[in-house]
Amino acid sequence: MAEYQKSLDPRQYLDPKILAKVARLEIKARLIVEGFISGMHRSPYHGFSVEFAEHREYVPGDDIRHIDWKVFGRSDRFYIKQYEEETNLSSYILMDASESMQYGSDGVSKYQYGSYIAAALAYLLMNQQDAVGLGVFDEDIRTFLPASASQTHFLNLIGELDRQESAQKTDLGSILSNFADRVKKKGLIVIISDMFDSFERIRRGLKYIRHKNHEVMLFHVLDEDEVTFPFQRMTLFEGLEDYPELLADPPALRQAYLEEIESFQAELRRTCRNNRIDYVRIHTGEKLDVALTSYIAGRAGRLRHL
Amino acid sequence: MNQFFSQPGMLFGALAVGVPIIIYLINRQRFRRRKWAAMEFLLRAMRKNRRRLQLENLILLLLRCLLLLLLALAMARPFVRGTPIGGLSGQPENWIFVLDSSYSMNVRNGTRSLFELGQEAVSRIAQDLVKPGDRLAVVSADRRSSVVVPPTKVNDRSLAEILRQVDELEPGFESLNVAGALQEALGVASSFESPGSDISFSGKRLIFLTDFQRRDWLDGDRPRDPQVRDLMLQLRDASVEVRFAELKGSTRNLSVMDLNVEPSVVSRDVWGEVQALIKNQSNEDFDAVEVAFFVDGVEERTGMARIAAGESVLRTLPYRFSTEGYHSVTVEVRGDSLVSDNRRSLSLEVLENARVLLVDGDPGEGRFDRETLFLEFLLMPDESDDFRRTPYEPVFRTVDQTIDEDIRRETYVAVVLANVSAADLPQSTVDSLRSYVRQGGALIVFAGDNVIPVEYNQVFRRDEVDLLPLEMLEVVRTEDRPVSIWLSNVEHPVAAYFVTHADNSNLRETRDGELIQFKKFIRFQSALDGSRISPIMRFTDADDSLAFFDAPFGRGRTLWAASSAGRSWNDFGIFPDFIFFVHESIPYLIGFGQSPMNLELGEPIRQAFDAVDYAPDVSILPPRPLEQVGTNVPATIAKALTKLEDENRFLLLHEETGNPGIYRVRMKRPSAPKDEWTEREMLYAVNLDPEEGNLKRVTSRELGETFSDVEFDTFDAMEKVDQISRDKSLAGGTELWRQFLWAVLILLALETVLAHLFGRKHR
Repeated sequence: MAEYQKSLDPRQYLDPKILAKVARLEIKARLIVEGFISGMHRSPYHGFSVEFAEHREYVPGDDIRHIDWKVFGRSDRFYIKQYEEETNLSSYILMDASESMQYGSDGVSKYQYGSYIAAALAYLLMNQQDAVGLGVFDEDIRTFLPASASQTHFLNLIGELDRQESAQKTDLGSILSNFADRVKKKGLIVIISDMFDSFERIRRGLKYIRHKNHEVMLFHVLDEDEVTFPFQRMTLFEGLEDYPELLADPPALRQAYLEEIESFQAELRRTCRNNRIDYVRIHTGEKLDVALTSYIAGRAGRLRHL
Repeated sequence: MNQFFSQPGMLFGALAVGVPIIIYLINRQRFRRRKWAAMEFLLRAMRKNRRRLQLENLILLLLRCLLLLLLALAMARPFVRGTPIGGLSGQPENWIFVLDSSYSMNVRNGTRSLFELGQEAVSRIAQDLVKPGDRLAVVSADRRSSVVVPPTKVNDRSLAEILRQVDELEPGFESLNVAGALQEALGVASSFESPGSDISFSGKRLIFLTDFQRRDWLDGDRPRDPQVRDLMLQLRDASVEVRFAELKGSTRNLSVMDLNVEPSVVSRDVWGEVQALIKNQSNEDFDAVEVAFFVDGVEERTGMARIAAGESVLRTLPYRFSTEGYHSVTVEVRGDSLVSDNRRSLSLEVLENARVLLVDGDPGEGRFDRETLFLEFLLMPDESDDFRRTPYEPVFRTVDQTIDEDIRRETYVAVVLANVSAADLPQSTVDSLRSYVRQGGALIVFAGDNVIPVEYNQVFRRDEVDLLPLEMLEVVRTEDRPVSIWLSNVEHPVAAYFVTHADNSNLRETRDGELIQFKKFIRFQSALDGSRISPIMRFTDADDSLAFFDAPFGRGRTLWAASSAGRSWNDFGIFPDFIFFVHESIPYLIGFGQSPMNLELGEPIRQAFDAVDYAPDVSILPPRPLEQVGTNVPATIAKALTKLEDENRFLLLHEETGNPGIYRVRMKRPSAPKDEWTEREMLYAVNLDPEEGNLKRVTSRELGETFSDVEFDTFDAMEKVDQISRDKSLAGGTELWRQFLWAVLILLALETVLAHLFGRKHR
């Protein structure tokens, strides 16, 4: 790890392409988090380790350092920010390792990208003494590690993420249901997947997982090519997960394809909103702090519901 | 070349329409393979848009194919045959080409003459518009038009023959007779109506190729020949569509307008002056015009002249001929391309002596008492120097000297009777005088005391057309109040000198001159309208009585003076004006009797010879036309003299004087001793009308205004020929490659826009 400590700017490791050069996933996780935190220090979010709880009306005697000036700017009234101690959280990361997740256009596959997020989240959570569990699936749940906050557990978790490679289809509906059943304690389930499955099955699975009172956060990982469809020449698209081949002139089909995938994402987003699931659409060309920021932003609210 | 494309070979390029299809098929074979995760969305997109994509592909493919097809067509240079000259109806048609062959068509346009361009235009238009089965005729038009190609049914072979005939035509030296040309064309048009023709000819088209030289059409602002209008209307009534193909060339031109020798009676060793009048007929100045005089073909003097636009200059050459006989004088100007009117020739006969017989009716005692004293002096050659001052030699005779034997044209150029009593003249002498004048002699009669009107009327006026054209009435005495004389007819050739030298003359154009005094004169009866006489001067008496007049008699002419030649009745003789009057009158009178040696183009050489001059061997050498560079020296033409009926004379007649220049007539006859021939050469100068060198044009609008009710449908023949050459299509065709190229560009733009719209273009 010593060679990375000399790095000039830890934030460079938020770039998945740079991070891909790093061999070990646990180091990657640490680098991502360090890079993320390094960025946060320059941001206006001071003391994020102390969780912000709620606002109350300012009364004389309150420390004026806790006045929320933003609220004052908006409402012209003084409010004091109230903080509370962190609560131990039981989190599960549910990682899609199906064949479609192995697709990667720029050296980083969706699975790799997802595993960076998963590792970084695990590292972040464990550093806060939260328990983290892992489920890796394709057409079935291949790996299930119960939630734990121990260092050894982290290494096991990283090891599982690193090992998984699949050429199987996925069946998200039943996976989500199974997984919700296997997690007994109410907690946070972070799903990292491209969600390439029948939309109806996905909807059913998400609904079921919410029915089990789990808080759910969905990282919808897509490859950059999948959201831009940049191909120009006549191409024979070879489908993964038993899809047939298709010979097409990509420029002619681009608009229609993009409309289809946009429609899918919109539908997914709507379903998540209806089920109070945090939906984060992310593609492999984006920096990894997007995922972490989304997680942090939603954490406080989720803690209140748990 | 075929009917629609001038580069049909490029049509093979149309095979390129297959290129987009081939590219499309190849592209379907040459594709990339790519594993794809989001296949469900791609399949769904494909399923929903398959028909649209197929349609878009088809549209783009068709556009690209059409684009290449149009490009290939554009490169094959398509054309459509327009109808600026008409033609191309389905039915056979009749075509009449009238090609202006007048002299002005020699004008250059660039390196070629208008006539050559006209020939090319005929050829191009004929090849393009005349269809197999049509009938075609060609008329060559100048002063006398002629059908050079009679109506001929057109096929490939006959068309080639027709065009060869057109190609062999050459322009003449005469002006265009428009009415004659239209008349000829009308004749051809009516000959098309051949009875019993099994083919219905749908139209008659007349294409008149001309330079629209103004003088051919208009005289001032009026039609030169009113018949033109009638003929145009007749052509219209005969359903002939008349179109004029205008040939435009430079109007820059010089012409030698006149060439003469002064005095016109030329004798050996007498100084005279060759005078050439040169005119700049154009609207541009000529700064350096070279003027060269040639005598008998030898260049005598060359000078330079500047001639402003529209102006004329007179250039002279003082000259004396050292030998008698026929001589030629030629003047040539250099400075423009129309050469024949830059040259003018003059033939003249130089005499050993121009003998003038002076018959004195009152000779007196000594020489200074003679009635003819002044005449002798002013005609005397005065050979004190090494040259003579006048061409004349006066021969003095009295009435009682036998003169009638001598009165022959070969002996005397003129005979003067001065104060001769008619009663004293033997009848034989009077008869000799009649015969002399009838054959072309010049007779001058002065009055005097011996001239008794009654006697003269009896002797010289046997009838209305005798030597004395007007009756002598009485002698008028004006001693108390002498009268003078004035030029009553300034148009008379004899008066011309006094008009141009009015400052140095005592003769005036009006009656106000009083210096020259006439105390007596004979009053002649007044000249009636239509009379043969030409008055020259009149007295200033109350009646404006005739003082000098002349009249024709036979081929000769008589001049009558109402007063005396000596001082008995007047003092005219002591004035210089008398000298000039006599020197102007004698050449004027002589000129009528001479066979014309200076002819206009087309005017025949016609000369009668007495039997004693008969020659069995006569030949004519015509001149070489200047315009026809490289033409061989013309061949000598053998001629024969023909005997005139009822006369003991023989006639030389040569009508082919179509080329300007000097015609040499050689007459050989045997003479004693036997086997020796004497040769005599005569020269005849033939000149073109200098006005033909006035290249000013008339516009079709002016013609339309002048010839009312007649439309002059005109197009620019050279523009048409240029267009045909440029387009490599035949006359009347309009090239379409530009339109096709525009269509290609529009399709290209459309393809680009549609490809963008259809999402086929790379971003």
